[in-house]
Amino acid sequence: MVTKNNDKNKNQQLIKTCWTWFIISLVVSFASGFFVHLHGEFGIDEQPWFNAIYGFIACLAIIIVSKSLGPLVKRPEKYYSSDEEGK
Amino acid sequence: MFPPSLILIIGGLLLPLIKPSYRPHAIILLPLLTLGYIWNLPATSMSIEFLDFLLWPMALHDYTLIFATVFALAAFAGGLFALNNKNITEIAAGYVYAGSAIGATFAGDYITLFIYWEVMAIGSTIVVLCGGTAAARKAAIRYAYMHFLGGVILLAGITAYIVANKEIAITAINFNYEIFFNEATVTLSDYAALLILIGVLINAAAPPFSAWLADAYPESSPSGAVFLSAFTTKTAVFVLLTIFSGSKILIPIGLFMIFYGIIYAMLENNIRRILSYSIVNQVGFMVVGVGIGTELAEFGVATHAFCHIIYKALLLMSAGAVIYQTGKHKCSEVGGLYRTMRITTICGIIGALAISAFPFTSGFVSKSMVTSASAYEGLAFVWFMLAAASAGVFLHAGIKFPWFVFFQKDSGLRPKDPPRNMNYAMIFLAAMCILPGIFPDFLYKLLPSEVEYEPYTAAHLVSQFQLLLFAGLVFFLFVQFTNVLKRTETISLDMDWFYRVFLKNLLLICESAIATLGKLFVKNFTCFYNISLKKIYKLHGPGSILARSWPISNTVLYATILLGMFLMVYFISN
Repeated sequence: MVTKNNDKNKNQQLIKTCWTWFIISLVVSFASGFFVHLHGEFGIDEQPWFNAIYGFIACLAIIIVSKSLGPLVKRPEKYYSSDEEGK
Repeated sequence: MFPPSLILIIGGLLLPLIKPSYRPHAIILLPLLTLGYIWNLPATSMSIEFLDFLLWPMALHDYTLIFATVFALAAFAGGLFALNNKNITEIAAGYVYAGSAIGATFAGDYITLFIYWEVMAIGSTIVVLCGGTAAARKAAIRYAYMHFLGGVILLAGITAYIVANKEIAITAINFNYEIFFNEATVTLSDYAALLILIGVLINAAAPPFSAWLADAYPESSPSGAVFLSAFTTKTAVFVLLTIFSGSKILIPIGLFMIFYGIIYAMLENNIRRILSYSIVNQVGFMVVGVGIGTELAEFGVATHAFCHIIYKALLLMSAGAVIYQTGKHKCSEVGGLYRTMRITTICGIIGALAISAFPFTSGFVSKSMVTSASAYEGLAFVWFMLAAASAGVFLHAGIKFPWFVFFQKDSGLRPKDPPRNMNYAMIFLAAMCILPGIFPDFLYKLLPSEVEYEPYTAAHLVSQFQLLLFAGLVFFLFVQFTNVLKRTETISLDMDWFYRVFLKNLLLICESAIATLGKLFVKNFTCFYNISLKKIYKLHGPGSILARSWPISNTVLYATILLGMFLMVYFISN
């Protein structure tokens, strides 16, 4: 029981460290956009914040679209096999 | 002198006949021999006379070398990974399949290409069959139907091409779909090009025929999936690149494949089905590149195909290792495996980073060429879509796959890393994912001419890091604060629903309709039949007028009378 709790604590510690480093790398990558000249072909992609915001929005959109398609295409796992066995 | 494909094809066919203790040596040696031969080809080409044609089975197209090299490497890694597999049929079929894919890249004419194309279909079907379950058998039959359909369409196209052009050599065709809107100008060779394109696109898993891939590949064995992921779609990409480069219709088709792959991979729960949809997604990038058709885009497609085969095989190996060790196929059943499957986890993450085009992995140097090519051509919409898709790839393959399999919750499973040969295969491919990422020249040397592209500029690095890290942020925010990304125990309907359910039900409805009609017909017909039968019986029944027997003497009498009358008429007329 003790070891399990220890494990849990250790895990949470690890998750915390991961988040910290992740946030640091986010900040660093975002900030470095302002120090590097990005060669864009279309204007907006030369903005220092463009890739960060665009990546964020694109993923949000992908999750929302796929989530909203869920009810339309998701079926129980036995969908095909029950049909094939039934007939 | 002989075509390089024959080493793997004949070797693969002989494999089951070799003594089991020598088989591992043969399995390792065959792909290496092929690789050595590809790199030391005799300078002269060869031709074979067949019917009225000259076949060229050893032609060198622009991208033959890079594709043949990576096919041989994939066969080597796949063989190494499958070394402990008791099912020798699977490895034999896998090698025949790999050999014919290599043969297709060396095909200088359409007939040779078609022969290899069909051998590939047969080899890969057997690999799916070797999955061994009832589901695998059914999936293999559906897979075979789809590929033989593609083969027939390709053959029709090739036949039309030969009739129209009086030659069989593979040359570039600039396919322009707009020509079909004006019937007056359409010629037979346009239809030939259209049919060839459709036949090839079916193998590339383009819509509406993309479902076969995610349907069949996850049903194969852990080692079978590694073979399957490498050859079919990439041979199709090679043929598209060689014949249809610059055909604009391919851009929207590729974009569709990219987002279809991402969205279905997001919905999926089966580990290898996620990776299968991500194959469609990655092939979409290549199809877009073929559609753009500039030199940079072509180079991007060829190098991306190379890198993709390596990292996708690696991802399927790490997924296969998990399935091999745990017997679990679904994200919802695994998790927390990093504790005990260290090598598999690390290799899986390297593959995931490479597919996401993370800097210093192979994907970064290849995918950025396709994206840049679209920007240089001023294709704004395409560029924005590709950039969004790059973020999306990180989401569905780069994070989702390793996160749900190796981290996430603790499933309580404590499997070890797989047998040694599987580990070696994964480590080999992981090295092959990092090496070209650090030394891109290693890849660029395989291309037909000098590459003027520098992937490692500060601007590229910063924009890619921003794109990927903030995509990652979305994922982890959702995981941390919502239940939206939680895996559900479901499957997702795909286009295969049309032939697995819709067409089947249509057939059942037709069947019952025909049965009802048949019954109605039989009922009415019996009535009519009985009445007619009575009338016929009256005339022909026993003792009735037409059934009486006649003595032979009467016949003789009538004949004599007739002859007598004939004689009299004859005399009178004279």
